[in-house]
Amino acid sequence: MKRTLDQTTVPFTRFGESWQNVLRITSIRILVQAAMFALFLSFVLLTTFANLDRLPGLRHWASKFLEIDPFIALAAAITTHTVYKGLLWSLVILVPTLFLGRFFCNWMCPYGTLHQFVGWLFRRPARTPNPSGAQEPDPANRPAAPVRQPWWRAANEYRPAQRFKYYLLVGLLVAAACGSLQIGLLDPLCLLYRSLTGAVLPAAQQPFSRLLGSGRLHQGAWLIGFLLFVLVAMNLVYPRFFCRVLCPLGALLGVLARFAWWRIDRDPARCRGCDRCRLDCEGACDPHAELRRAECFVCFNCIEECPEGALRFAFFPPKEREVAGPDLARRQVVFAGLTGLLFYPFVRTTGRATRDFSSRVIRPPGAVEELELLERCVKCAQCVRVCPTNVIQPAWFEAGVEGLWTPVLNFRIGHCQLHCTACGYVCPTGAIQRVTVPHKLGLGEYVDQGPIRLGTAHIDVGRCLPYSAGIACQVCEEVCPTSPKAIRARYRMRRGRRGRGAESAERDDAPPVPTVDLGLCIGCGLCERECPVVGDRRAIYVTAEGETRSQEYPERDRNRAVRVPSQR
Amino acid sequence: MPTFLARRYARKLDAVGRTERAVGTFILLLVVGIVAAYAVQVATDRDYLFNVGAPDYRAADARRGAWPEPIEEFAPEPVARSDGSAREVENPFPDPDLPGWRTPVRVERFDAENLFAKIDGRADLYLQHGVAGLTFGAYTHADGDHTIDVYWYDMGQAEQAAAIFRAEQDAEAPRVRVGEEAYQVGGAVFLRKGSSYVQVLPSRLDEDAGAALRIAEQIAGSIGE
Amino acid sequence: MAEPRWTRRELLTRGAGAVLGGGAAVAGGYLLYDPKGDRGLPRWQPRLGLKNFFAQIDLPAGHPRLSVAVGPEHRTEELVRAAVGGLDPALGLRRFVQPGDVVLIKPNVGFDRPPHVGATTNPEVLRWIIRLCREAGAREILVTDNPIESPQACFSRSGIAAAVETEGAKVVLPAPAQFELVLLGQPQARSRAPGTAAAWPVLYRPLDRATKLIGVAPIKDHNLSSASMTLKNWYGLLGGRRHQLHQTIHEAISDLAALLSPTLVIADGTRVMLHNGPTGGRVSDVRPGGQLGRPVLVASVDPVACDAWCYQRLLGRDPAALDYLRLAEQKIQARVAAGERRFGQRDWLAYDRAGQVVTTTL
Repeated sequence: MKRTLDQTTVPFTRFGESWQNVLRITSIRILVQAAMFALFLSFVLLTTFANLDRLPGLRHWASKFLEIDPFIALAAAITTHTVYKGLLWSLVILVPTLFLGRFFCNWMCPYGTLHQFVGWLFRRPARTPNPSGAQEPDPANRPAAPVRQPWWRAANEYRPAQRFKYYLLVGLLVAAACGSLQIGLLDPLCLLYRSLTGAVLPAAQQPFSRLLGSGRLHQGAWLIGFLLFVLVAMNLVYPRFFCRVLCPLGALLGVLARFAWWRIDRDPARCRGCDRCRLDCEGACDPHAELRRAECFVCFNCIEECPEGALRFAFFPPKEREVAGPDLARRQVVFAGLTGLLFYPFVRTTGRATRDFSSRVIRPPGAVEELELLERCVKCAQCVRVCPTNVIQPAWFEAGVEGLWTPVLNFRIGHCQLHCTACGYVCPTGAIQRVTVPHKLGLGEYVDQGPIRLGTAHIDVGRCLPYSAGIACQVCEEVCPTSPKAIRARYRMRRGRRGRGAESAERDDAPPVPTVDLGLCIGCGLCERECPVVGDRRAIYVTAEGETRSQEYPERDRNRAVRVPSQR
Repeated sequence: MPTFLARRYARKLDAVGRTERAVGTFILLLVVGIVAAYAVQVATDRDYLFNVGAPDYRAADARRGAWPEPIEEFAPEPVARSDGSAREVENPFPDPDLPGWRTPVRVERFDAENLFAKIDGRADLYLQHGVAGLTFGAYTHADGDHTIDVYWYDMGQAEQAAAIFRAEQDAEAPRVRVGEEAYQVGGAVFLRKGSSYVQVLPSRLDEDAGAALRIAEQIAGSIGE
Repeated sequence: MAEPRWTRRELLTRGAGAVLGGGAAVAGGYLLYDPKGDRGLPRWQPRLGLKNFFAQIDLPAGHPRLSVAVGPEHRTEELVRAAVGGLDPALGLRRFVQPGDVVLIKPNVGFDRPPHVGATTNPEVLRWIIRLCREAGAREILVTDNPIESPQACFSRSGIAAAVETEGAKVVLPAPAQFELVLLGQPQARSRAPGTAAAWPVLYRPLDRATKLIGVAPIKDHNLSSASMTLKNWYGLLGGRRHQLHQTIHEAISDLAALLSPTLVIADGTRVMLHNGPTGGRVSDVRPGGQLGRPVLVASVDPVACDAWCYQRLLGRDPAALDYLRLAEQKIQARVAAGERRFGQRDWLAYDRAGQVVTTTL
């Protein structure tokens, strides 16, 4: 069967010979994309506490995709002036981009693969009679123009909206330079990881919850899932919407692509202006005219579609047939920068990160102090994924606007497992430092330092059963995992008088009441998790006061409770 | 791999150059290599990442303090350990030789630092008087319902025992002849002898006053040997 | 002649469609009719009890009821064999486990602690018990517990998962599908203390599959119930927010003791937690054999007597003062009087006087 399109006939490959097509560069690309997506999915699925515990080799690979993300590395370097551990791997992407162009977007990025796949699967070709802004090819080479424009001409044409991602990039980097790292909101890898962890995987597990165990709960999963859904669904009307219009990582790579030594080059002598190269152009980079380097995803689809062989991946092609950098208006860049610049003082003035902090914001063990955390956390939700008890949750606005989707602990859902520091092992930027279990518990060589405290438990005596209702209950004491226990139930003494002048104290018959030793409590939240007085406020609850991460910063006036020495 | 290999290509197969094929093969091998490295590293490094060994625990035990807890507890029958380091333990409470009353099965000892665990806020007074330790035991009756609690304070020195005795003394209470000084009020007997200050407190004030007195005598008799 | 407005075929198809559709709607309405309003609501139907895992055991009258093995450190295998062998010198575990049995072993894996702090069952002891079951011909050996902390972490950190894997048995991790509501205590009890529930989710599926049940519990101090031994061990089979039962813990433990009649219980006294129980965490709180100072293992067909013995000899406390022992004895004896075949009495000295307590010292 032959298809006629613009007077071109394209033959089917014979089945027996089709295996030879595997060495076409596009076939290789599809295989690599599939492999990268499978690898990414495998990292997400395998990164659980049980696997990390038993297969420690996984800790080198679990965050690999985030570590190779140059945007994370760059922005974190801007805020912290360091390159944290594995982020050095981003050079693996950064350096080749400088030579080859924006190949990451279509060869490795799992989010890009997802968009491409969904678009391919679901997009119905639309007939657009008069596409706006369609570029007319060179009239000298063209046969008589057809009456109706094919659908793909409008779909894959360059639109000015594609400039938006550069403004976003500038805004985010300026905000980072001020000291607030918000890149995680839209960075594709962080977004995909967070969405899979927070919404997609729990949703997939729900029908099987009787078999696999009750699924995990994540605060704000509805928004996380909705965001992913909307962005992916946009592919039905605007191909690669996120990649072309919103992706700040793509923008960064696009800016770097201006120095590339190789790019797609069109030979005007052989080109007959049929515009077939735009049929599957992923980046909307105008291969039929002057190639926009900053938009080209190096997908090679244009080469594959050209019947004349006029396109090739050329080494140092002439400069007049390209648009080297992104097509930006300088004033708009400045405005974007201003937006980023204003964001920082606006949110810091709200005060949630400093004096008006919320004591219910409890961070994972090994987390750095709040201002440093806001400089590092990319909201990737890997810590949420790996946490064995589901206690780490993506925050809503309790930690401020900057704290959206940063990790906080919700002790109604889980508790901080004693012999577990998994969150620190998977954090790519060091918002949660890598601590060992002896460091966390204050054992071995860390005995003098003491344990890492997440906060302190306080008892609400109006709700606690022994205090308010005279009912015996020592669950918090029983489950308190520290040794010696930080909660002890003590009988109250009833003072009596045996004759004048002689006091005596007898044990009150009422059930013993729990008391918390503020110096021993590490804030693990098991007491709050297990307290039988369930409800929005349990009878014993943990607040961030006394957390060790705030102790080193007296000038910041956060969470430094009066330190009560242990009662020894 | 049907679709993307057997679909329609505008570019003819022979237009695929040797460089393209070579680069493609190289990339494919690179990806295979990455996946293989991943599989191998994860599969071979098998260990328990979050386990903590006993030595780390012991180091912490030596350093960490105790929440108020009796520092010694022992059963009435001492047991010699097989390694020969048998600890000489004795139940300090004498048998009252009264029908139905049994010596304390569980004896608690406190020192100055964790004294308040037993007597709460009153510890201050004793600490001011230089208390060295408290031995507590409860005589139980076969009926199960009533007990006689004995608080045996070691005040370190006789003068300090006298001082605390006078501080708590009820001047109008009838004296009894036990130890060096003693009185009984509301069934309870308070006595001092040597550096010991002992309180014998029955739960049934009137019924067991006599038993309390007898126990106090026995205890006083056992001091000062 | 006027043209017919509809054809016969149309009449048939449309007519039949309407009639059938209407009939289906009416039938559906009739079948699903809920006049009172509560038909679709879930019903609360607990199971009335569990099977008696001791009923088929053929234990002759004079046979030992309690077998104690005391030994030096690092000879766990001999200790286990001595303790179990003491119950029947000729057959050992074969009197209790027959070829083809599915044995469910319930250790204490309640906490994310390493084995040396004594909060969980000694994995070495568990290993040898599994081995003995296998030697007796058990077809399948399952090990389960429902800890409040993450099950994978608890099984892994306590060394139980490794021990089970080595011996080729199977760990059953608790999942919601395996729990069912079971009645605790007597349904007619009106004077139930506030806080105890009539029915509670219990880890039912493994219990249903098993033909023999062996409990292996460490001996620990417990802040609320004074001690955690073989009877408190059954707490790990409860699901839901079981800490609510703590408000009347002695009732709860005794109800469980009455509900579960095991084939055998083994009290693991190799590391006794004397203080800071049940979570522990300090090596200094732990002493082999508690008061005895040397590792002890007790095997018994009478869990109440076993607990009483351990409470007295290993923890050095008075069993007459332990409420749940008294209540458990009452409830079990009530069932024995009603015809159930099992043992449950506090007074282990009575066994001793009858010569049914065997002590083996290695």
